[in-house]
Amino acid sequence: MRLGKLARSTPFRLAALYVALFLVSLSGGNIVAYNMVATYLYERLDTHVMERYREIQSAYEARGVEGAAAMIGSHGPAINGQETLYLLRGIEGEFLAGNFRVPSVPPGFSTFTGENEGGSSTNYRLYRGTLGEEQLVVGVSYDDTNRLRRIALVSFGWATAIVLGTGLGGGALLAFRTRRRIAILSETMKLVGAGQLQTRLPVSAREDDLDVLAVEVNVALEQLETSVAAMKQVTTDIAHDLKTPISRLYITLEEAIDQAGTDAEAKTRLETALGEVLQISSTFEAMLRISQIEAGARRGCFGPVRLDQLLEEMLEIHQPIAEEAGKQLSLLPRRGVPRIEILGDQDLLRQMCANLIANAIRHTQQGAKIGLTCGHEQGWPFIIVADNGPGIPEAERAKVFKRFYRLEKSRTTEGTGLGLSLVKAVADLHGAHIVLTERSPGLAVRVVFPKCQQV
Amino acid sequence: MMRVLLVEDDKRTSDYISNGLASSGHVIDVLPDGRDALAAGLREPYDIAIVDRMIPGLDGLSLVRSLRAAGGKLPIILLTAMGGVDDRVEGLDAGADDYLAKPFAFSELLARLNALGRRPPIAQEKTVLRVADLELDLARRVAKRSGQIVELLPREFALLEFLMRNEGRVLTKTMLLERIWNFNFDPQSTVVETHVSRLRAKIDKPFETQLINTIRSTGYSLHAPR
Repeated sequence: MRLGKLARSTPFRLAALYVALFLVSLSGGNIVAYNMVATYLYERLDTHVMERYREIQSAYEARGVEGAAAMIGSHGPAINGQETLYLLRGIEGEFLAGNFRVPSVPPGFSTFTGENEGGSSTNYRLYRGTLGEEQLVVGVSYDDTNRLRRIALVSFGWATAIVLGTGLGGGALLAFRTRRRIAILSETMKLVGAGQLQTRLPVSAREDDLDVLAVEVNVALEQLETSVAAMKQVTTDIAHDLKTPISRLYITLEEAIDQAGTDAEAKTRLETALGEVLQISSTFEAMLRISQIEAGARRGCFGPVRLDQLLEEMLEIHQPIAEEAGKQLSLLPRRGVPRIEILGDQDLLRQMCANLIANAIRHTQQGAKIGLTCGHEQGWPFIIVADNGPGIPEAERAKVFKRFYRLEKSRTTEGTGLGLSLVKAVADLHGAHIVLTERSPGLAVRVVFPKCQQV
Repeated sequence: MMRVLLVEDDKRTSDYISNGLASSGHVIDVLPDGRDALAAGLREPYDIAIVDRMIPGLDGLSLVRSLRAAGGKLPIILLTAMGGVDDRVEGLDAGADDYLAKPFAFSELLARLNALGRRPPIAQEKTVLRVADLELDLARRVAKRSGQIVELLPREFALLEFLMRNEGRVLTKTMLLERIWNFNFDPQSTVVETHVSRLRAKIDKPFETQLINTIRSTGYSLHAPR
């Protein structure tokens, strides 16, 4: 698992690619070098054989067969392949001088394997030439040459192995270190995503490309933090500057109602005005709430929330309300596991459900049925609020989540027009998405939470 | 009669609150500055404090924290122009006992004041609450009216207990929403009205006298007929 991850990392892949390219060029170079060494060694061997041959040849030319035989004799007997082989044969093929005997040797260069005492063997390079009437064979052992050639081959092999080892090992080490740095960066970004905007990426003294990137991200985070803080400040200021006069207006109206005494008409009018002030205030409150939720400040206080228990509680609270309104609210039988747990903000999730249920009760006809359920679909936790009311026309479905958007037919009913915007804001905060489906007749609102938020 | 400390810099609001409280028979000290209020709060034996969150000198939250840090048990209601999601939690975390967003009806503030201030300590220890012929046995979770057992759902029991503990006091709809249903938001539905009416159908309707009284546009109060 870890190794698999390592192999997928960019630095490791780059290192492996580089090592592969280097190996191809290195072995190409090694093959050429090896061939050159081998050719040189064998050429040197042949030169050596010819030198010995010419030695005997010049003795023969000076003093005939006796001279050659004396020169051969001065080189001593053949012992274990350390020496040079000589054979001088007469015109009939008879042995004249030398330190070894073989029945036939082809003219020019050839090879021969001689058996030593004790079973070992020695390889020789032979040259047969003609001196006047006689034939001369000279041989030099090439076992040393073979050994040198093997050493060259093995050393080139080792060089390749060392390059492969250090290349891959170094690549893995680099990849591991880079991975660790990237992991730290990604952990930090997760914190930022969770609403902790004051978090900054660590920057090392190396000033490499990752550090440059980190610095740039930090600058962006700085700006984001500043603008979020500014937005919060603006919200607070508006809240204060707008709510203070609203509050004073409210106070004035309340006092006026108190002082209206028996003037019933004035009292009714003032009460209507008070109602409007309350409506303004609660719309304002809802907008503030939605902006705060959208700003994501609440993500810091997420905890485990049991969706099944949440729905049971909502059922208990809203069932009598639905009944009173002549509608039927029930929990639909569930498939699958009894516990549906997510990571979220309990308070906001309750408000979201309450809004969805209140909406269903408000916008359905007498005798309508409203069902609640929750579950897992391939590990994705969801809740559904479904009804058999008039539903929402396809063309309007995307718009209902917009602020203050209300369907034509429900413009006259109560409500701020912000209920579903709040539902959307809470869903977005939780990384959940909302799916509206036609039930013919009716509407099903499904809120699907992300998989990884399981506790 | 309660001695109330009101910390509020908006003259209009503080006049409104102090007039209202004075006519309900309470004594009020108004201080517009947070630092002065801290000194007064530590020095004087107030029964309750009403603190606005945005005041000069020392802001409302810091004032509450300082009072609590000094070991004061003075009940505190925070007033605020901000009714945001976190603001309430922040206020309660700082040590406030209750939290009220502006604009508020005076009746709402008065109800909260009465529920918090100088509650007779004995009411907390009782295991059986009695109002007229209504009896609530907290230990055995049984409700009786005129000796007859009345079956209640858990949430109805909690609602009745809260009403009976505050016998004679007005409890507003928002207070009930917060305390009984833990809804710190407007539920956009008639949660309180419906459940109170269900409770009424069980403990009041079958009997001669009505104990749960509706206080128009404010809330409910449970008491024996006067």
